[in-house]
Amino acid sequence: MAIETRPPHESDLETIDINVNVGPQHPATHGVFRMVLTIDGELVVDVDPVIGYMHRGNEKLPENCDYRQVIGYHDRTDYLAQFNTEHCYVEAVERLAGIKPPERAEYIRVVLAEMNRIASHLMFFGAFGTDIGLFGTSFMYAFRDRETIQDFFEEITGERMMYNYFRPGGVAWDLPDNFRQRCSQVLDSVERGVEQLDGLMMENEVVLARCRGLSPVTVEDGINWGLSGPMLRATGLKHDIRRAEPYSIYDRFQFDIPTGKQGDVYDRLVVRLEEMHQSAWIVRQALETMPEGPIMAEGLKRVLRVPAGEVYMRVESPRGEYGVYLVSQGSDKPWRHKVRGASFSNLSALRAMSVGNFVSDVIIILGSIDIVLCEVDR
Amino acid sequence: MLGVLKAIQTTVKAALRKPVTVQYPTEKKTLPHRSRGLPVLLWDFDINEPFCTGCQVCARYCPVDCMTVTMKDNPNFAAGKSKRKKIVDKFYIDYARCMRCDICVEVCNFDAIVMNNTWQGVELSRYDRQDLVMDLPALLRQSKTGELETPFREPMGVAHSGWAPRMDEEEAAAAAEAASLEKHHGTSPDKPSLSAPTPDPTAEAPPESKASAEQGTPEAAEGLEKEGGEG
Repeated sequence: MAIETRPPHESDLETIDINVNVGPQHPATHGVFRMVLTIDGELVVDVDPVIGYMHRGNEKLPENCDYRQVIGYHDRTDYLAQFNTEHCYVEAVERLAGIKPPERAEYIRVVLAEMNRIASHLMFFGAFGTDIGLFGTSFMYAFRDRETIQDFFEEITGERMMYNYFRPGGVAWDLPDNFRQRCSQVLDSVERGVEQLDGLMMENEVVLARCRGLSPVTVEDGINWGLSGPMLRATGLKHDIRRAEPYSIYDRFQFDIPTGKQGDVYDRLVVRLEEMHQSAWIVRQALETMPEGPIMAEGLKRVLRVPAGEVYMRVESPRGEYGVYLVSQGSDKPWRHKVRGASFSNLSALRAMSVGNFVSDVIIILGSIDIVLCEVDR
Repeated sequence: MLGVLKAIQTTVKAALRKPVTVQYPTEKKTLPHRSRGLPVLLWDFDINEPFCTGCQVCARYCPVDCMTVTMKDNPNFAAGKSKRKKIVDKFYIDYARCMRCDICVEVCNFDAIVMNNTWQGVELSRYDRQDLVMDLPALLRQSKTGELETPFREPMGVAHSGWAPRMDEEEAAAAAEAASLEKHHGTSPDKPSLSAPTPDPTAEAPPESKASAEQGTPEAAEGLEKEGGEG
């Protein structure tokens, strides 16, 4: 697409565009991502994103793994929202195999997935603060609270990042005895931290000056570019898969879907900040009503063989729509395993959003997409 | 202007509170009981041999193929000291490759392997990558010396694997009683088991547990092998 954004030349001096490489080894690209910016002075006239540095064959590998072994690979796609990705995968397998997980397992999954959403958005605020020039401050604030959540997850699953905790049919083992009390304690402390982040960033004039009005996206554009998650909700569209197509037990909880007004970078911040409060609300509701009982569906075989068929399952991950497309031919391994990464689709809008802005603003726009490169490249 | 002041107020508040940083490595957090370090093997103090029979279930289910296991005839069985007909001969785990997914622990029929929940399970700096390939003595050392006090092994995946853990009739009765006391599925994970390092017997006594009470013995395991080998 040709976007003519250059201001008319005022002098007769002959100027040329130059290419600037941002990345792949650059902290502002949030991973191993490379942008070739064509710049005219400070103005970006073209962006050429180069991806693929993190390609690990994460869709092909599971074709040689049985259904339980794949869970570990799903942790490694979106490594900031592992429970959400695991949730998507195990739900896909369960739908295909016709397994009904017990109530308690569903509650555990929802609680952990929502906690993970908070952790992921905290990570976003930390990294975004670094992008806009707050340097370490917001990063340290956000990481303090993310650490609390990670410690909490470690007490449950034993791991800090790659949990491998959900299983087709339930979860791997039961929660600790003091779970309810511990979870509310963590939530309280995290919500205090979120308040601090709010105070640090949201009304700060420096943040406002850099983010407000930057790269606004209309609802139509957002849909056409395939945006999802907070990126799409920031444009003003009230679309959340937890509400639009309720999976697991999300239809039992009350929560609001925060939306922005004009889809600019600031709205994306606001939407994510509000989503953390909504997630905390969902967790509190789930904690109140969480039943006791078994954590694994009964009558499963030693080796899980899934009947032939195909399924597409999508969940609302912190970055947007995370989907798993599974094709089974009746064996104990998936025949085809496709992942729809939310970051990948959101990243595809980068060029349209950033052409016409200044170089420093492009870094912010990239940061506001909240990409995880392992999910982009898979 | 007000917004900036608010931000500064937040910063000042944060400057006055206690630091949250832990000065690792001079100061170490206590690891939670469930902490998943790298896998180690357990030592049966009653008979003075490893629990592991070398049945290779863990090696087959490992997603990253980091294990190599071989089996041999158990000399203690010939001497009449042990019930294990076969025993592990060689066991290698490439720690550099292991992704700590816990699947080996889940599928083990003999409660022979656990994830190390001590600091030794995670602090594994070596000068050479080859030094991270652990052999049998290295894998058993933690359990043998008693450094690994209370490993975590929930009776997890029981339903998934269809496996009933080995139990004597007395044990099964005791476990059934315990299960009736427990409100929810599974033993309390954060109370260490009484008979360390032997892991908890499962709290649930499935109806087929008597029929499969022999499943825990090596012969039955070989039967399981064949059954599972079709996959």
